[in-house]
Amino acid sequence: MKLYVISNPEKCSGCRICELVCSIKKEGVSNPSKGRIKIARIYPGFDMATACRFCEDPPCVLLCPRDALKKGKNGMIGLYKEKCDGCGICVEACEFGAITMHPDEKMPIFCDLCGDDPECIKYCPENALEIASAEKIAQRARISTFKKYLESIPE
Amino acid sequence: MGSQRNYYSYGYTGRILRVNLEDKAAKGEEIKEELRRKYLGGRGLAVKYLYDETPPGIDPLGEDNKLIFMTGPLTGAVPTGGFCYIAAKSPLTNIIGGSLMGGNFGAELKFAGYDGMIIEKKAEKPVYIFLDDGLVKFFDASHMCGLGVHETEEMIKDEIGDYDLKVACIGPAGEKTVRFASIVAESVHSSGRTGMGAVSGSKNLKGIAIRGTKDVPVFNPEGLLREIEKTAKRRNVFQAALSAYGTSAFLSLSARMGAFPVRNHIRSEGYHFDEEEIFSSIIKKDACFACPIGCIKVSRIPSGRYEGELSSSFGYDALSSLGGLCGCFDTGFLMKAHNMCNELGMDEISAGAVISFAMECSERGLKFGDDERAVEFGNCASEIDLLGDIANREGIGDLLADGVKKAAEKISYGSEKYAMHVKGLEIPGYDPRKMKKTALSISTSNIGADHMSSSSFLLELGFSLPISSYQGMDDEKNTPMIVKELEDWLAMTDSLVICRFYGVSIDKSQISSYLSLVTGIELTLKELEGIGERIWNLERIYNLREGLRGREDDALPDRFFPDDEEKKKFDMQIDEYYRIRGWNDEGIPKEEKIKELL
Repeated sequence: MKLYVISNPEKCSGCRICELVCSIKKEGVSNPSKGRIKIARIYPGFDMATACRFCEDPPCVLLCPRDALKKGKNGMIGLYKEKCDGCGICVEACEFGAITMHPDEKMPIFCDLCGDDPECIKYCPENALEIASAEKIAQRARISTFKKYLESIPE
Repeated sequence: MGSQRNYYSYGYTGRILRVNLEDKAAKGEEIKEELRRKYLGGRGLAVKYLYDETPPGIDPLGEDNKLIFMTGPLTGAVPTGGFCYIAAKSPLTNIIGGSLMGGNFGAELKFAGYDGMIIEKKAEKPVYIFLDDGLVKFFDASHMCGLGVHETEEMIKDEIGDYDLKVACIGPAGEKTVRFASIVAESVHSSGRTGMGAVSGSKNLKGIAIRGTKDVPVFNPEGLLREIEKTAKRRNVFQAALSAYGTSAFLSLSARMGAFPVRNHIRSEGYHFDEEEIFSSIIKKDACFACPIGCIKVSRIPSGRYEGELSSSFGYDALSSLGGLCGCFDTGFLMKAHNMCNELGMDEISAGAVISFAMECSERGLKFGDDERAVEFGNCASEIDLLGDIANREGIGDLLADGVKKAAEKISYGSEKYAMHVKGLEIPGYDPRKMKKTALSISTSNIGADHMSSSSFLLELGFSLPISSYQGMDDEKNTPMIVKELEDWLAMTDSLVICRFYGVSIDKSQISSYLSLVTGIELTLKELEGIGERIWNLERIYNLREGLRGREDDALPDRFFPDDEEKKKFDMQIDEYYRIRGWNDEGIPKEEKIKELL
């Protein structure tokens, strides 16, 4: 089953510690613009983080005019840096906004799960981040809805 | 790689941005290494610039005042490192004004390439500034006049076409130079006391938007990650209380001490709030840059006329100043009043205090000109109307917009007796009669009656803080030393710049660890305490230069001394406080102390 970093908007506080530690881990500097995970915030305080979801048929790979992006065997997106010239169409193509341009290299950056042990999850103070599959979230929903039904049955 | 004592390579950018609103010009400028060695950044550096660059006696709402936004060595790199310190001469108190601003604005300023921003002169017409990764642009803001802070932020983001901008702006209150107007970051982080918003309004500066994508180089990235991990997922009692309930958690604590003041501090008592209603109105939490606590609560107004409306950062200040002081105990109304203070852009502590002053004057038969409206304790609806009038300087709002001290001076007829302030800053919602450390703290804080300068009220509420060496020792003898130590330490953390709630609740050693991991600068706890003491004394000297009368102004209104015995005890604490600080009997730093520090 395909795993990726999922953020729970009911728990996310929008603190951006995930953005911060991602940039320190991946780039050795404090710079959330270089983080591979990004939050979105809606006034007056609703938040959620987004990282690459390793789509089956990624629009970013599809639309790259130079075939600089590929979907690897492990499901993750890979970049051929020598082919990329920073046009940004991959950034536009992603409906989740999970890809952004590296401010210095001017090439796309996206989550790679830090190999297999994502750093961000270790720091989230609200435990809003987890590495999971969509199916796991669906299982939870089935169980919790069923639980609610059971609890509502009169004795 | 840079030597350990090189202040330029890591953490700091080494530059501030000087903005001249009259010429619509901006220039980068190097910060002298000696200044950063002595003052670190943030509050210390901001006050130093203000002291050095403004002559005595300037009009705080005039062109010569400088509005300074300053970050510190930890900004952008540690939990709560999104703060910046805002300083200027205060239009409310005529002495040093300053306030921390939370959220992400400070971090973004550093990511844009600057440690700080000094705003000078006055724009001919309302403008907003856009700092775009080092490049400064000025935009006309005339069409934004009268807009609330959120409306302003949305409009700026639309016009520039970037929704990740960090915006700090003023509302109608700042535009009308209400003397306790605030500057609000990202629509919800209100900064706060002493009228920095009025200074911005006097300069025709409607707002500042920043976008930054530059690095903050870190001396030891691996070490920093490990250090951050220590407090990321663990909370002590204090942090857990804030995390769950925000500052509303303090309500039952101050009430059970009988320290929750009502009706303009006439007395204090228990409270009449439905705590359950307050807590269950919380939907989720919101947090500042990398903060593991998350004290901001996003709530939904649970009942009444404004039911269903959303609110951010409702807490103790609204409950006590807009609530208790005004005799208003309706949660729904108070959340609306809090929202209004946020959106209009004014300090809710001062706003509540000035309205409660008006309420007491009214009940004692003092008239405010022709305004026939009912201004009485407990009249929640009229309180809401008054907030709008104050922000727009309409009717008696125009009088109250100058703060209790000036309002009382105008009204006279003995109303000065009912003006609850120290040095012109209105007293917050903790009863100094019951909380002795707070009494000393609000009397000695350099910005006026500010309980956060030492945050000693947290000790009195019963929290154990890692940064105070006096744990569980409650005799009054230690009060001056406790307050002094906290004041110095927080003056230093305000210069790093981190949040006070985070700063008081983590070990002192972690602060020095953060500093060395981010910047490579090694400072002992003694050295850090010394820097805090230096900053405190610089503020004191600035104040004395601006006409502070020393001991006479380190005082509480007579209302808080029911008898001579209490007054004597308080005077003895002030004596001891001065002695510890190395000041003379009048509260003026002695020659040796000045030589030692400055």
